[in-house]
Order: sequence, then structure tokens, then C-alpha cells
Amino acid sequence: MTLSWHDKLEIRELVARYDHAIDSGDPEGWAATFTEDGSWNGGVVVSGQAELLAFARGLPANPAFAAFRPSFHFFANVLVEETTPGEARLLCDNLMLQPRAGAGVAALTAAGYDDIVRRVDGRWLFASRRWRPVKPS
Amino acid sequence: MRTVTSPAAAAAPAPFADVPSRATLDRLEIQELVARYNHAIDRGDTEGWVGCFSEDGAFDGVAGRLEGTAALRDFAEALTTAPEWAEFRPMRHWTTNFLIDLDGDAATMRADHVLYRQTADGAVPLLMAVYHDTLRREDGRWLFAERVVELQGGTRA
Repeated sequence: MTLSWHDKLEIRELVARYDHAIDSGDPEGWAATFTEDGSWNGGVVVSGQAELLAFARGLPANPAFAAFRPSFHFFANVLVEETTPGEARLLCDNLMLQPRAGAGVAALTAAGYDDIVRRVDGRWLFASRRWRPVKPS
Repeated sequence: MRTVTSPAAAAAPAPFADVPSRATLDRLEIQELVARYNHAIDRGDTEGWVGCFSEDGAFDGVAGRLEGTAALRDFAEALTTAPEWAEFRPMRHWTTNFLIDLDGDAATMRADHVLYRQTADGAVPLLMAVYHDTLRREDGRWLFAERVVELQGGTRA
């Protein structure tokens, strides 16, 4: 069985929900894009709803992510492939933009994610999100 | 009697009742082809990129007009590995504003494009262009028969 386009569109919306939540400072909304045992790996690894929520709530004061405040995620190039029924590998790219008061907009990174998404109770969620930075030239 | 469902299930969106038309699926499949194309060339997957074109496919872009699998493969290998294209790497293709006109197993598309290069100082937009594409469905798969890249002013030709 292959994924339907309904599934693929819902998975795109999941990425959009993730982006809007993290960019607008909504830790609960961000954590809610993950499964109960979901994990995020963006240099540090955060696993499970409790850790995800604590991580997102702590982001505004987290010195490791100071360079990304504020930032806006613009995703593109979504590719989804079913691995097992109800689970899929999601590859997509992300452009991280940072508005700078009086100095336009800086593009911080053009890189990608390598994710696993899972359908839980009819909803697609991230089982894992792995940030794949590009080694700069 | 209703079956008991979890709160998450109750909150899940209602399943789509409609069945997408062939024309809708064609549009989505063509957008997916663009994603495959971008992933392939950005990650040095030469065969994956060549596989987005029909066998007689043409790419009219930064290296002039190239026609056919062999010429496309040579270009993709140069772009992803050769020193003369090093200033493009590592690159990420961004494509948006898809306008697709369908005509059976053929289609044309107009789309906007910006190419980023990741540097230590951030992602630098290298060039922008309008793609003028001709597509064909062969054996149930959409492929580029021709991609004409109209580079926009102020960017590298």
C-alpha cells in the first residue's frame, strides 16, 4: 500500500504546523507535532513529550540557540515515502530566515531534515526529526 | 452504541470524502517531481537528477542547451563535483509559484526559483530564475521533456 495524496498533504501540513509553532513561540503546539515517544535531533537529542516540551519552553533562554532568535522556517522540497503501513520517511529542506531590525533579512541556513512520521489515531506526527545541516563552503 | 475513542482520535481531522481528480493528482505529482529533482541535484545524486528527464530531455540553463541523457549526466557530474562549478556548492534549490497547464499526458509549467549556497556566513542566494518547463507522462510517471531556465537580471549567467 502506498501513501495517498491525502496523507502526503497532511504530512506537509504537519511540517507547516511545526514551523509556525516554533517560530511563534508556542512550545505546546510544537511538542504536539511529535508522537508520545517522539524525538528531535538538532545537535542535541530530545526524546519523549516531557523532554520535548521542557526543551521548547527553555528555548528563549537557551544560549546554544541564541543565533537563531528570532528565526522563521520556510520549508520546501517535501518527499514522503511509506516505510511500513502508517509510517513514512519524510525528507524536506528548510530555509531559516532571520529578520534584523533595520538591516533586512538574513538567510542563516539552507539545509534539510530527515524525519520519520507516524499516523497515530488518524493524525500524522513526527516520530523523529533529524536536522541535517549542510557543511558550508 | 458508539465505540470509545481517545481524545486525540476525536480531535483528528475528518477524512476527506472526495476522491481527487486525475488533474489534481497530476499537479501534485508534478510538484513532487520538482522536489525529487531538487533533492537529487543538491545531494550529488546524478542518476536521480537525470531520471527526472525523459530520455530525449533537454536542460537549457547555466551551461547552455543540453539534450539527451548523456549530455545531462555529464553536466550533473560536473555541477556536483568539478572545480569549475565549486562556487555553486553546497547548493540548495528552492522552487515555488508552480503554474501548471495540463493537456492529457503532456503539461507545461512555469515556476520561480532561487538557488542558495551555504557558506560559513549564512545561506547566500546565488541566482534567481523562472523555469519554463514542458512535461510528459511516460509509463505513468511525469518527466521533464524540457526545462528552460530564464535567469533573472543581476545573477550569474
